[in-house]
Amino acid sequence: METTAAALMDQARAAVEPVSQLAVRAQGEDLEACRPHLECAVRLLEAALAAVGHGGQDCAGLRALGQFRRELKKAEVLHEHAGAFYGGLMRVLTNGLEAGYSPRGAGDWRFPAGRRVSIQA
Amino acid sequence: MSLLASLSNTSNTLNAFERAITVAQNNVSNASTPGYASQRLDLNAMPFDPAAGLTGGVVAGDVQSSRNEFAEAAVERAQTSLGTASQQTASLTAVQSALNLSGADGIPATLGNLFQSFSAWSQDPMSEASRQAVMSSAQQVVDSFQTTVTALQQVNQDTERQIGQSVDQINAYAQQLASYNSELRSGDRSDAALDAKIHNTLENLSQIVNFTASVEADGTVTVMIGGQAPLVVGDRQYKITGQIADPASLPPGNPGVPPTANILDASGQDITSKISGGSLDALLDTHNQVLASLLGDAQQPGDLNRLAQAFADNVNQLLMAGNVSDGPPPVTGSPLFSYDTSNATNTAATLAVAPGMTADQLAAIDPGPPYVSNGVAVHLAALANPQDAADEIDNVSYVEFFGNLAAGVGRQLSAATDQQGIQQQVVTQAQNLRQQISGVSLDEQAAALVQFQRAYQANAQLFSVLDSLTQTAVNMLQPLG
Repeated sequence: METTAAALMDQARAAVEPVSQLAVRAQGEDLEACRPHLECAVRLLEAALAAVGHGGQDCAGLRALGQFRRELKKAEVLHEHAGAFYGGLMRVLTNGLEAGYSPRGAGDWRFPAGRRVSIQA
Repeated sequence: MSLLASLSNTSNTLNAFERAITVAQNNVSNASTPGYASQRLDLNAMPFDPAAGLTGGVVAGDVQSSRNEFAEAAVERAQTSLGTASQQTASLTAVQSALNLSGADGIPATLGNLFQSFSAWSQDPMSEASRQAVMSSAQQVVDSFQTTVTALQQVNQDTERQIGQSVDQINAYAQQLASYNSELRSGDRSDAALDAKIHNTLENLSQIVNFTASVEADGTVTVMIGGQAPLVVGDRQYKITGQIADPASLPPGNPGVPPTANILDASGQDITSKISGGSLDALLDTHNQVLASLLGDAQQPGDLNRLAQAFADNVNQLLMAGNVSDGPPPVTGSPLFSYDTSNATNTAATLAVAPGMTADQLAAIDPGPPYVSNGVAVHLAALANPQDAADEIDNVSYVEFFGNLAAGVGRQLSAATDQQGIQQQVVTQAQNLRQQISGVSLDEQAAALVQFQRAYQANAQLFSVLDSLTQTAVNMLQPLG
C-alpha cells in the first residue's frame, strides 16, 4: 500500500465517501455507521501529515488534499442537514411524547439500551 | 461556493426537509388511525462540486408507503378464519343449547322417564296409576320433541336473519370501497388517509366473507368474493343478495321442507359454493348443514324427525299388536302416538299423543304365542336397552341415537372453540407483523432520535478533527505548492 501523502489523502477521501450516502438516509443506525468511516479518515489524514513532515511534498499532495476537502465538505453539509431535520422531527414528536401516548399502551416509552430501532420520516 | 449557490442549496434543503417533516407529522398524527401505514420520504443527494457550481445538499424524492400487501393479506386471511370460527362457536352453542341434552325436560330425560313408566306398568299391568303414569310420560316425550324443534327452528330463523344482515354489511362495505376507488381515480393516488380507509374496510370485510383483493394499475382495488364473483371493480359495486330458497323450487323429496339459504351475485348466479370463509360461511353451514341434518331439507328428513318417527312407529306397532283385555272378544290395543305422515320433515314438530287415546286403551297383553299377560309392557320397557335390531335406530337405542346427535354438535362446537382461540392468536400475530412493517411507533421514533443525537454529536466531533487536520495539511503543503 502506498504511504505517500497523496495516496493517504486519496484513501481518506475514499473513507469519507460512504458518509455522504449514510447521511442522506439519515436513520439513527446510519449515523452510527458513519463513525468508523470518519475515524478511519482521521487516522489516514494523520498518517498523511506525518508523510508530509518526513519527505516534503509536491503538487500531487495538494491536488489530493483539495479533493479530500471537497468530499469532507459535502459529507459535512449532508450531516448538518440531517441534524436539522431531526431537530424539526424532535419538535413534532414532543407533543406526542408529553402526552405519554404509545400505540403499545400507556407504558414507559423508553426501552432497554442496545435495542435496534429504525426511524422513518 | 458562491452566495447564490449557497442560498440555492439551503432553499432546496429546507424544502426537502419541510416535506420530510410533514410526512413525519402525518405519521405521528395517524399513529392510531385504523388501517394507516406509515410513509417515508425518499431524500436524494445532489452532486457536490463547487468548482462546477454544484452545491450538493438534498432534494425530496417520492413519498413511499410502508404498506406491505403480503402482511395485509395475512391479516385478512387470519380475520376470515377467525370470523368463521367465532360464528361457528356462537351458532353451535345455540344449537347445542336447543338440543337440551342434560335438562330434565330434554328428550333423553323424558324418554328415560317413559321407559321407567313402561317398566312400572309391566309390573302391575292392571294398575290405573301405572297406566296414567305412562300417559303422562308419553305427553312429556311429545312436549320435549316439540320444544326441541321449536328451539331449533328459532335458531334457524336467527341464522337466516344473521345471513341477511351479513349480506347487507358486505354490500355496505362494497359501496364504501367503490366510493374510495372513485376518489382514488379523481384524486391523489398516494393519499395515505384514503389508503388507510380502503385497507380498514377490507379488513372488516374479511371477517365476514373470503375474498381476493387486487390493486389495479390505476390504484383502485378490485374485490372478488371467493376469488371469482365480482363485488367491487373500479367505482362499480356488484351487489350480492341472500335468498332463502322457496321450497316449491326444490326437487320433490320432502314436500314442505325447510328452505335452503343461498347467496346470489349481481347477475343472479348462485355463488354459495364460493363462500368458504368468514362469518357468512359459518352461518350458511349452520343453516344448510347442521340444522338441516337435524330438521331436514329437500334431501333428508332430518335426524330429529327420523328419531321421532322410528320411536313412535315402534311403540305404536307394539301396542297395536297387543290386547287390552282377553275378552271374549279380545280388545286390541291402540296407537299411543300420532304425527303428520304427509311430511317427513314435520314428524317431530307434530308428534302428539294420539287423539282420543286414554290410559285404559293401553295394551299390556302379548297374545303370543306364547301368551304373556304383561308381554307388551315388558317389551316397551326393554326399549331402553334394546336387544333386537327392530327396536333400534342406526344400530343404537333411541336415547343413544339422540346422544350421538348432540355429541356430534358438541364435537363440532369444541373444534370451533379451539379454532377460535388459535385463530385469535394468529390474527394477533399477523397484526403485530403488520404493525412492525407498516405501523407508526412513537416510542421507537423517539428512541431513534436519542440514538441519532448521540451519533450526530460523535460524528460532529470527528468532522471537527478532520477540519482541523485538513487546515494543518493546507498550511504544511501550501509552501511547497
